[in-house]
Amino acid sequence: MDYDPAVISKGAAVTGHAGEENLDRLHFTVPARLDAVDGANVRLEAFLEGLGADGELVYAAVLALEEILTNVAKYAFPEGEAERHQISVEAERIPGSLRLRITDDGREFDPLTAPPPPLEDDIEDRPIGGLGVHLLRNLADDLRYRRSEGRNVLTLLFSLDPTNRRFTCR
Amino acid sequence: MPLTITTKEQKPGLIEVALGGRLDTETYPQLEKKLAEVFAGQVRAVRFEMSLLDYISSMGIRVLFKAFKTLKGKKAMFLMVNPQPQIKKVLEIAQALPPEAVFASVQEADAYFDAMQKKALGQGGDDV
Repeated sequence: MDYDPAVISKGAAVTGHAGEENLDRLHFTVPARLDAVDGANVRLEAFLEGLGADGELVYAAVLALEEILTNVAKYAFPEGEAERHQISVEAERIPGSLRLRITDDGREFDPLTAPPPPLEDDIEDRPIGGLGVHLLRNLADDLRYRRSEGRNVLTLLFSLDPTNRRFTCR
Repeated sequence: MPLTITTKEQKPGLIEVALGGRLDTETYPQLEKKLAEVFAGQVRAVRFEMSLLDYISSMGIRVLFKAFKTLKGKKAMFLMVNPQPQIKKVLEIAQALPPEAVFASVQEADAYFDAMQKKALGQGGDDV
């Protein structure tokens, strides 16, 4: 069989597989397992640092990713099934923002309409994933959810402008 | 990135727990285990030294909150010093700890510990 190298490299760039990453876009999948979260964090962090993102943005985006992946791994599937499922993570620099999109095929869960945790209550007694979702709402500048073809699609925007963002340590 | 934990008895009953690296979904069990050992002993205060901790997520915050409650139950002090700005910010968002638990420096935390110890000793035996 003959392979045309030009066709292969173009295909790799379009699908975003490892080895041929568009400089402004990252796309990978991870199994819905708690022990896969760290690897995902590391990949996103490396991508953001490659973009020259500042420390606050890196922290907010990586923490948001961790909270979402942890929630999906723990709560989106029946016992024992999670690890058979893949979660898709896409990060892309768009004008003014970093866009982070996480897609999973677990049960329907919209963090935007989940009731906020009563913060005066014991942190241990808070509803499922309560603290993680609460953090999420305060990390991203924009957070949108949609349910599409049996999948949860969560899209977060993080402002690239340090003077115009929700999560700031100033 | 791993979590590093070093513990040291700074003064009788005052244990310093210095954290470094990441306290997250993967590493929080290590801190839980270490704290179980600390709480098994005679402890009057635990001072969490946070200057080398770069990252915390909700699982890590939960461990710190549980430590706070455990110490409160033992009538012992929970002291936190030198959290990095992003850590401090996340803890504020989570409202996991009362602001008075976080001190601006080791010196301030130690002064507070000493003052509380004197107060406790002063109340022993005499009518107040």
